Amino acid sequence: MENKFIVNDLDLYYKDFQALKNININIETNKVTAFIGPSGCGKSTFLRCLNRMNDLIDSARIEGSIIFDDVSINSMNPVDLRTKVGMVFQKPNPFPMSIFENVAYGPKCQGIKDKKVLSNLVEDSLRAAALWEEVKDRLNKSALGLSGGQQQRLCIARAIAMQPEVILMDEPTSALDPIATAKIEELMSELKKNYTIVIVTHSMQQAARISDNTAFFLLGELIEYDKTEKIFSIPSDKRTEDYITGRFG
Amino acid sequence: MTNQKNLIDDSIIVLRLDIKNLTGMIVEQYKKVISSIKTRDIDTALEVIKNDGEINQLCEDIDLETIIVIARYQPVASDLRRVMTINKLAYEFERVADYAKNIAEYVITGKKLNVLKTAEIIASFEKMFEIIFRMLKTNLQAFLDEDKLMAREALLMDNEIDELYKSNFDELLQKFKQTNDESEQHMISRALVLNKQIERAGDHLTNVSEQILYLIKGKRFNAE
Ligand SMILES: Nc1ncnc2c1ncn2[C@@H]1O[C@H](COP(=O)(O)OP(=O)(O)OP(=O)(O)O)[C@@H](O)[C@H]1O
Ligand SMILES: [Mg+2]
Repeated sequence: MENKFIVNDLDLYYKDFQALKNININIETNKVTAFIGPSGCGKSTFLRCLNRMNDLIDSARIEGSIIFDDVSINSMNPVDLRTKVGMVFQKPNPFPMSIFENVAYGPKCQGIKDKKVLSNLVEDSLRAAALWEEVKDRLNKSALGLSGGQQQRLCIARAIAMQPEVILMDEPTSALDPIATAKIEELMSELKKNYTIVIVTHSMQQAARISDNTAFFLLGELIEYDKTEKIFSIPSDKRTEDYITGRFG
Repeated sequence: MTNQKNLIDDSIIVLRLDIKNLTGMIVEQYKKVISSIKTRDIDTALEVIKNDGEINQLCEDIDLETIIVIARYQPVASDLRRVMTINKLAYEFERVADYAKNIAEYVITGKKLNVLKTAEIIASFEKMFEIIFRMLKTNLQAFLDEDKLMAREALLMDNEIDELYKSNFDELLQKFKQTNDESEQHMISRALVLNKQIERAGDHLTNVSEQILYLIKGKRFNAE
């Protein structure tokens, strides 16, 4: 399927405040899609719509439709949806347990008990997250002893262990140094072969480097959505131009 | 949304000035070339050759500076197109200047360019140079003002050059066929080369117009 998500006329209100205004967007399968825009424009809010994380916020009210692989996400079991649409957050948030258990936790909750299956899944996930070589000799050590960049890749491994189809990432490298950032970015171009990736980033260069499509949000509106190379060389909207060239005042 | 100033702006201002100076230097070169053809003045021609070194240096400086600006600011959107355009213009202008130098060299080695005494041919070369001047000036203004209409105007001027090139070519060829005098033939062949050089300069100025249109419109343009 060409599009993983098809979003139509999406509005989101926090009580009376409208945080998303009539969003229409298709998220392409096996592509990296970047969301950019100034703080407070609704990027995280929209990202959370894609796996119904806003359901957990009482004040949030959503109108419009989001289709995931031909199915409206509202008709899906939210837990199933979140298994298929995993999420990685800005601050690495490993559980205070061993590296192995961090990755095995989700699958165990899903009922996978077989030790061999679990250890294969853990290894595969850590490999996919480009972390295996660095941790294979200390799988039983605490995840909290890893560096920030390693912790973030562990969180990606944890998401991968759920065998999702989509990985949502909200500013996944904003707390990382350039080397750890480069590792995650490299990882993303690897991961998109098997997953659809949506990333929120405040780094224009990062969006330009890693994404196939870029969406620019402003004050709850989707202003422009296009191929990344188009957005960064010849944006159509003056507001996009002003934002990405740093002339947004 | 206001137009906030940005760090890259200062660098671009300086680079735009460089392009302006570069264009001015090239105009001077062509003026000297014309006068050296008309008066067959070797000293002026030598000056053109000497000045070409300065032009090359400036073009090299602009090229380096654009690379530094890209490395430092990683420009995007119109900033990126502007910096890339400046880089491309420096390259194209350097080529345009090279033709002035080549022509000056022809003047020197062919001091007895008797074929150029043919009044119409001189007039015709002069007309071509005239258009080269107009292209240089119109392109510069189009670049500085980011004016689409002006860039188009400059782009179309190349057709005039091409027409003059063709009619000169035919005329010279005709003369070539009509004479058996070897030295006369030699001189005509020199004039043919000169004709071609001016035409090539026009081609590079057309590339300049196209690049400016890309800067403004954001997409490539063909002369058609
Ligand atoms: N739970 C909430 N309740 C009420 N308002 C909220 C809530 N979450 C976000 N908002 C508001 O919705 C708007 C969009 O917030 P959101 O977090 O989606 O922005 P963002 O683009 O992700 O910003 P940032 O780049 O700073 O992360 C903001 O005005 C914010 O204050
Ligand atoms: Mg956010």
